[in-house]
Amino acid sequence: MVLLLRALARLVTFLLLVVLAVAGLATAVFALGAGAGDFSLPGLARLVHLPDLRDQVGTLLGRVEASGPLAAVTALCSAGAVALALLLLAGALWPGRERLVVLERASEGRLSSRRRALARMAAALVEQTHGVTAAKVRVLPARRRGGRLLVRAYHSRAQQPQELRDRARQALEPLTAPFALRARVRPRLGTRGRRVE
Amino acid sequence: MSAQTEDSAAPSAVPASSPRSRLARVALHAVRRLDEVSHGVAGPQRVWATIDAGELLGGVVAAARPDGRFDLELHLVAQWPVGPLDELADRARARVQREARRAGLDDVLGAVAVAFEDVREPRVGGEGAG
Repeated sequence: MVLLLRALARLVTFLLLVVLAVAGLATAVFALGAGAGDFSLPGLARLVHLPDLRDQVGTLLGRVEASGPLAAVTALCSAGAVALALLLLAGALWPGRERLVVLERASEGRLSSRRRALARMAAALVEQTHGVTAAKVRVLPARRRGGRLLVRAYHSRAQQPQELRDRARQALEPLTAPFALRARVRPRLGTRGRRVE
Repeated sequence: MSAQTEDSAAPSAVPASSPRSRLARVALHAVRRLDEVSHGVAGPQRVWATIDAGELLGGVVAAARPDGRFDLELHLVAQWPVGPLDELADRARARVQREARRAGLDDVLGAVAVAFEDVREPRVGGEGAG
């Protein structure tokens, strides 16, 4: 959702900047001309039908001031525009997902790891556990330090899920114990075609 | 006139090296000798790199501090099996300090940040498999 909003915000920003650039260029070119002829600022206003637009907006505002169906539609449209603007702002300002997991902050230097590297290390540790046939790991970094390891450990029917979970957690201790990393292990019965021990 | 131009151009042809870039080189070479470190990575836009003597050193950034020292950032690819990351980072820092002392650069060495960017598959028969 946030990715979609961010893409939409970038597209709208780009289009608005293009419109602004074209409008600025046109104003600058027409400002070279003097008087009230075609090649002048009043001429540009006539070219883009600004007087007509002024009349139409004036008529519309006059109707909106009076109570009636048009006023209700205008209020709804305004509320929609405000909601759309808020969504675009959220898309533009929402912080992106951090790809770096900060494991330790010390005076001698920071220790960190990419999510992918940490996930691969965790998966390798869990796959070395007795009874685990394969493992998938997702890493969710915390805002300041540490994060969570979401582990799916696949096993055969012969394994007890609870015991396997304990063994997998124990295997992850070199990663979790020294740092603010929490592991959530979910044992899953391995599907056909997966590696067997 | 042309001789004067050649003379003035000669010093710029010599690749530049500074305490900052030398420290970056020393640190990168020091950590690459660890068994659990495969190599340094410059990153997608080559922002994690330092140029020393005309050579691009990928995986190390040296940033100046107000006190005249340089903080180092090491962006490394680990070589599996790794072991506890905190111990590996401590060993990497200790090795950087030792090598900086040997090179006479320990008085400009600041903090050493270690970032693991990826993990390489285990070596098979002594060769890198990743």
